Amino acid sequence: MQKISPLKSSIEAFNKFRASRAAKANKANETTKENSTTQTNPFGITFRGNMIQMDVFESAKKPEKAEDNKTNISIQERLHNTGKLLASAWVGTMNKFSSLKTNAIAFGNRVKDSVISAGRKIQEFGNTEVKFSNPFKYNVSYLQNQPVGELRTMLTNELQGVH
Amino acid sequence: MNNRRVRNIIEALGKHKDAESVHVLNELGTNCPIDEVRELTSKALIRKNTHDALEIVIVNKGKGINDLSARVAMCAINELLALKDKQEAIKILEDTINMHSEKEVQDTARSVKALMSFSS
Repeated sequence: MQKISPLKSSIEAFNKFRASRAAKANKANETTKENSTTQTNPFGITFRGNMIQMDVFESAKKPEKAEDNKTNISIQERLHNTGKLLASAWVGTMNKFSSLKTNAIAFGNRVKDSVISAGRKIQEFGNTEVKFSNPFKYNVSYLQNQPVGELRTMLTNELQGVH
Repeated sequence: MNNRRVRNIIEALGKHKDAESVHVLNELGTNCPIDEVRELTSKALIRKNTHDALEIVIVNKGKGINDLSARVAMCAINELLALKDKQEAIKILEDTINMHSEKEVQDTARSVKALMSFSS
């Protein structure tokens, strides 16, 4: 039977721990790289159902060429860059128009609903009869000038529940 | 029953110039089972101070000063005593004392007449 020394076993355990930590660190680096490559369009702008990729927009990085070398840029490259800019502007305009269109439709629907409800209210108001009862109907001075027959009827009605 | 309305109608009938109002008060008010209505009617009739109105509350048994309710009867007597012109009331009371068939009514009339003569 082999005798296990405490020093040897501790070294082995440390080596294992170091190896597992290195493996974890590699894995994390790979995932961050993947994320950075997939998020090419942080604003999520679409054009005819397709997600617009990074290459449509102008690159955030400045061209490495110096100022004095600008004149040397080929016409083809310039045209290419202008096309990219135009495409991005076109996409922005399209998005603006689509949002405006949806807002206008919603506004129109709201106006239509409010007009219908107002029409219904007017109809209901037209159907109801407004009755104004005389507030002085039971004042002594008013009753005094009424015919006795009417007073008899009123008194009979008031005492009806009693008899 | 709306008390305010009934009170106002009875008061209006008491102040009404039409003689028919006395008949309405006699028919509906003095025959009402509610003491308060009978009391208000007696007051309205006495305030009229006409022959027909006073006759109802003095001569008739169970009405006005002859009411079975002491409260109603006392109110009617008080109202008679408060009259400024008591001539017509005293005349009817005298006729009742002399000519009425019921002794009870005669006695009540006699008592009221005595009170009225003292108060005037």
